[in-house]
Amino acid sequence: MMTERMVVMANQIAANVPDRAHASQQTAAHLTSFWAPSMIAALRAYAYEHQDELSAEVHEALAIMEGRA
Amino acid sequence: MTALHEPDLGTPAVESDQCVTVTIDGIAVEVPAGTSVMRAAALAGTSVPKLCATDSLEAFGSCRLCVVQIDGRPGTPASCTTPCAEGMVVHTQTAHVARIRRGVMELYISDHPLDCLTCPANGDCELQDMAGVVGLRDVRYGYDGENHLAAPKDESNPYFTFDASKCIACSRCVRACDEIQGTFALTISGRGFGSKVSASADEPFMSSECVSCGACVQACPTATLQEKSVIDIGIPTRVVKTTCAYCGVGCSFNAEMRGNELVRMVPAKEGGANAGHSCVKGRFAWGYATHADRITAPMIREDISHDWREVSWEEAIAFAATRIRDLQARHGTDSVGGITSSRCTNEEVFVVQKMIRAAFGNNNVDTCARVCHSPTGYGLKQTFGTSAGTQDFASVAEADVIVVIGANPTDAHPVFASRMKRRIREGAGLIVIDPRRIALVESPHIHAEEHLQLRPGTNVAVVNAMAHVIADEGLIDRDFVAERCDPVSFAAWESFIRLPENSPEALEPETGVPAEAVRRAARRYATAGNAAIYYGLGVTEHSQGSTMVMAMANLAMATGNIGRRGVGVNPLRGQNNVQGSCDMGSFPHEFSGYRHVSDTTVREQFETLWGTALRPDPGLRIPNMLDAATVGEFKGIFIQGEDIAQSDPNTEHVKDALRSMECVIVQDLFLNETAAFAHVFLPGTSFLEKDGTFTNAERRINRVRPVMPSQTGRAEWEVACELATALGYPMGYDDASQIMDEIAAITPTFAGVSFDLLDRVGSVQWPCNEAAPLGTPIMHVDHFVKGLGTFVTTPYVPTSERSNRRFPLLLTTGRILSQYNVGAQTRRTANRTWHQEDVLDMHPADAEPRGIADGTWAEVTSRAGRTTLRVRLTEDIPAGVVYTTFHYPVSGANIVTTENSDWATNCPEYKVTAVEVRPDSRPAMAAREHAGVDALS
Repeated sequence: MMTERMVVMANQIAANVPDRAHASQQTAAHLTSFWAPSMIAALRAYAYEHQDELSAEVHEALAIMEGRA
Repeated sequence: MTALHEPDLGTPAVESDQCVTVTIDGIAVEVPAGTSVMRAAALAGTSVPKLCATDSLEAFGSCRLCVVQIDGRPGTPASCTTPCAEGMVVHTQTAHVARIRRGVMELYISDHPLDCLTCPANGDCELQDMAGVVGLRDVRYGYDGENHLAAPKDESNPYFTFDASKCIACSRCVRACDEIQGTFALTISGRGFGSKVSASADEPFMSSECVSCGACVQACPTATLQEKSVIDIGIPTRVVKTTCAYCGVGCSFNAEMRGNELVRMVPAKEGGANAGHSCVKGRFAWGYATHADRITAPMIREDISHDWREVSWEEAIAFAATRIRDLQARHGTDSVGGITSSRCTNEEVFVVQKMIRAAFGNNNVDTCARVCHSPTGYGLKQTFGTSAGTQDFASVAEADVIVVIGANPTDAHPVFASRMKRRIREGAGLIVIDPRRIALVESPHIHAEEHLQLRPGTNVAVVNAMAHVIADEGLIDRDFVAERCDPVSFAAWESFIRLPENSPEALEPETGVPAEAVRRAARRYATAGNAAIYYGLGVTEHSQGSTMVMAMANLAMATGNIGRRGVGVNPLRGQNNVQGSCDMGSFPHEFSGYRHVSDTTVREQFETLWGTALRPDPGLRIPNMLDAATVGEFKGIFIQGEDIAQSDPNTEHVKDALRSMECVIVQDLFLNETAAFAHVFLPGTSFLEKDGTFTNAERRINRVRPVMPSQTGRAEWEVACELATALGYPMGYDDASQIMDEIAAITPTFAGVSFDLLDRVGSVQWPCNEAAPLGTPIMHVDHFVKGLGTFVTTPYVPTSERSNRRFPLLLTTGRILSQYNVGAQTRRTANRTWHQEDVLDMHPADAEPRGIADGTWAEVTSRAGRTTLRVRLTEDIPAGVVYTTFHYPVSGANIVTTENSDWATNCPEYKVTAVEVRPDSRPAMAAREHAGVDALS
């Protein structure tokens, strides 16, 4: 996967989901509904190594999807 | 001339709650009050002779051939202009009126060429018919008097001729241009004997304002306006009713044939979408279907550097299947996928997505709607509960205010635009929200009350500002909201939209739209009575495309403009079957009927029906597949009827991705740009060979019927079935109707649809099921599909694609009337006459400081790439914005567009690309790259 594209897309989703108070949860729900598992796995792997490139909401979303939050 | 075998009742139907009974030639007939005597006579089975009357036009009363006698009334009134009155007794066949009609006909024929035997309309001419009907045997005045027989013939239009010597000045063509098309290009110039039909200011048709919709040709009762194809081939002898394969209006046509040769396409009067109207594409630009460039035999090659090798179907299918299975063995099940096409039938699309899910074994299926209206599906499902527009096209006739956002209907959806313009001429208000001054803003008898000429990329800000005004000024329809919408989401939305940051004044610096204009538009929309929103790709093809769709839905719900005629939120779909391809389960996360693949109940239904396990997780979208290909993780793709190497953004990236794959299978009519990277070419069928259905933008399911045999010997769905079978998943149907039966069996919104039903009733709009056996023209009437409508907060997030010092202009792209999408069809017709190249529209204020003159070449550069286009200076776009089309591969418009996309759906942001434009004397770089690839590029 082109991880740089996925980083842009994930950050964009987190910045645009409607309910700003629950942006992480909505981002997690969106990724689960619309992203292929391989993309989520690639994003997750990238996130561990490049903490600062993904927004806090995306990190939280990934945590929610893993059951860590 | 009207279509063969279609009855013509003389004057239009009248709608009235009251009926009157009249007696015509001894037969009593009940008709709606206001119906003409002529129409009543036709309904009673009596034919009154006529020339200037036709039931597609308002009565005119000029030819005097339809005179009748009415008991108790003096004289011989024209039956076309005389309304029926209760108890009226009419005589249509008296000796007196017969004498008058013969006299009238004598005058017509005394100034008409007597060349019936060699006339192209011989046997299909109303003047000829009427001469027989009235019993004309002689012309007492002779033929040597002053006449028009030497009048010149205008052959300038590529599709029809205008032979003034045959004109009887009945004004049907003029009225058709005015009433039906709404262009007002024709007039009767001169007076008395000198009266004649003139295009614009007595110009040749080709250089006039005529848009070649064909309405005048269809209305002409003689051979004055005549299709060149009829002149060349002869009068058609049989008719097959089918559906146009161009835009999302989905016009019904009578394909008029001689044997297996198509002579002309005539719009069907009973067509639910078009009601007898057409545009230059559907009416005339069908020659591509039999163009010499068609590939009709399968071809394969080991490598894209090799020449194509023509093979049997069996060898091509086996080759493709072996490659797909080999790739999956080496790179995993998910290393392959496919794309369905909005130019193919529902049945063809359904079979391809089934092949991918069941035979490929993954959900890596997407459709070209990804790059146009995927935000519509997402946004309307979130708010209303279903992924489709709310109205039928006819609903616009009851709108009091029409809001057109990011759409150019006169060019892209011309037949619907004519309906819309008719309503505006009747008095409906018009608000246009668009960076460009599109034709609707100011054209004959059309004037937009407001044109909110916003900066590209600021749609959400403008609509939020309108909603802010509506909330702030107490214009919310609180009764509707309380009854029909979810109160929690509404409360959150109202709190959000009333924030000062959403006011027109706060957003004016961002949008460039004067705050007071936004306030006027908002008040007008909220207080109009019936306010309807129509939108196009200028809404969806943005980084906030989905947000914008939801913002419009919020606006409609907040003002109660949903759930009845004359209102609604209406996407104008780009291609003929965008709605259908989405309905059929083409998205990687949804089965047919927009049901998520993770829904266990639904998935088990499909698994039971299809006899195989299906994946519960979403697959890859088109851009995901291409991205994965460039890093070697995605290796094979089946592409049905799409040319992604021309249509998708950032062309170089698309080509890199295709080049990286080891098995690209293209199913198409022509060796398109994408086929340059293909290993297998499976020849497709044109719409004239297909058997199936298209679903248009109003959810109308129309039959597509084969008017000629398949040139390839295979239906496209048969090919997909054979490939699936070769992959180890046996798939087969006896005919296309069986596929629709399967769709109906598994898709609740299609449960009542069958070919039998469509053949009986013409068309239906889904949902079509037990609750609505004849379909659903207007959705969300008593409640939303999801129960209560959901308001969604829509914060404006500026696109990252901003103009800057390096790229100070914003490029936006679109289409024009004569061309369609990537031009694969229209470039192979005489429509090239109107548009021979894509040009760059530029404001003089941007051109002058750059030293760019009208008609010169300029290099357009973005961060994605560069191309060269000829410049046209125009003030129809604001300074700071440039515009082009993408109909020719050589123009390379999508070399420049970027990978930016809608946050929710990945629909590309075609409408906003930061560019710089500089003078360039070189030929188009893209032209050199494409030399030899596409002879018609």
